[in-house]
Amino acid sequence: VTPEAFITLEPHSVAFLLIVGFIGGLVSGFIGSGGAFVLTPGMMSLGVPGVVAVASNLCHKFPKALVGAYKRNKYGQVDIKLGLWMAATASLGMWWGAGIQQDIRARYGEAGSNLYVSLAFVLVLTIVGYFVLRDAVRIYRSGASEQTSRLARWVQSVEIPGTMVHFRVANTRVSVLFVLPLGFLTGLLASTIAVGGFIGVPGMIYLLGAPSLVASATELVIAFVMGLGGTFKFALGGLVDIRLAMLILLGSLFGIQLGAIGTTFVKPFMIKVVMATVMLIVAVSRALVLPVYLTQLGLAALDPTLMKMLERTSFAFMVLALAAGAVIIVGAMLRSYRHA
Amino acid sequence: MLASGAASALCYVVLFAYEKEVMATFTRTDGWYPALPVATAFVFSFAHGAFTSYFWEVIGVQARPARTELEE
Repeated sequence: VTPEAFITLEPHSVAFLLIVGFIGGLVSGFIGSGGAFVLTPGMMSLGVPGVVAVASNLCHKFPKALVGAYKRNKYGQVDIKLGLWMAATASLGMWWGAGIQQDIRARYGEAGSNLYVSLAFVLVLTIVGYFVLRDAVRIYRSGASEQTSRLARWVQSVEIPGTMVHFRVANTRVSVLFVLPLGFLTGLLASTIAVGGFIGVPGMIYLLGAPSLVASATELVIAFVMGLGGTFKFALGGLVDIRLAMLILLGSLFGIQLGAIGTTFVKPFMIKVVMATVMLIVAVSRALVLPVYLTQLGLAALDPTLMKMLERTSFAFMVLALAAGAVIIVGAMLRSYRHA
Repeated sequence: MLASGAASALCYVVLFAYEKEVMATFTRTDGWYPALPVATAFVFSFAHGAFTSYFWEVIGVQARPARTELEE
């Protein structure tokens, strides 16, 4: 790494890192993950090379997740055993996903890699986001509390001798043969789109039958393990910009404390509302840039001005996703506070 | 709150007062140097994590008793 890889910090870049750090922390304190999809491209737009942005984001992610997990564990929401089981295979998934990324980049170049990441974003977030939103709307309309999904009831009924584990806080007894692949997919998604929680949290809720409060809190344990491993990996290459990471952490710890407190205020289905909103807006953001990457690969022909516009609009949607999540959380907290 | 606030502030002051030296040392790839960013992140998370926790408490934003049960 050359010294040029590390930018000179200007007041506006510091302000950007503090504010996005705070909002990202607020959202991840509440739903278990979030922020990376704005922080990484945001740092790159400040002139930070991509790999340093990824490394520095990871270096703020694990201490943030640690503080969030500690706080939510005090509220009795973290299933540490479930988190560690999932984290075990999540690390494998991350490693495997990084290999796929390298292969794609070697074969199809940067644009091919961007297209693959964006397609993964759009497919996963649209499908999962739709189901989470549908469930949240159903709970809101019926006024009922959260219920164990039919799929999770089936998973809980499958008895595979020697593999059954009782997760006390999540209040579910399932075979680890369901838990381990879910962890793997969480890691795979984390290494592809930087936010594994978009698979991990809905997976724990709808597949394993964990309450959404426990699922989103347990995701922080997985994020801690993955972030710690990832930071070590990048630090071995001297790629972590500790100043950027600690500036993001400065804002994000204020945010994660508030987000964690927020989960004890609001109705649990609000976690699903925030998650679905963020996921679906991010999906739109990534869908907007698909034609840009197709053009770079020679599979479509777009005007360069239009391409620039699409890229800018896409980033604006990313920011909107995070801001919308934060507004819903703060709004729900204020409403709940007034009713108390 | 004051102690954790002072500890957190001290961490940030030291980091940015010795910015050049820190960046030169923390990006070395030999020996135990790659452990420095990780260890630093832990130290900051304890100091600043404690401070931010007290911060919201003092402001009056506090948690309510947790509910995590699901209906069958």
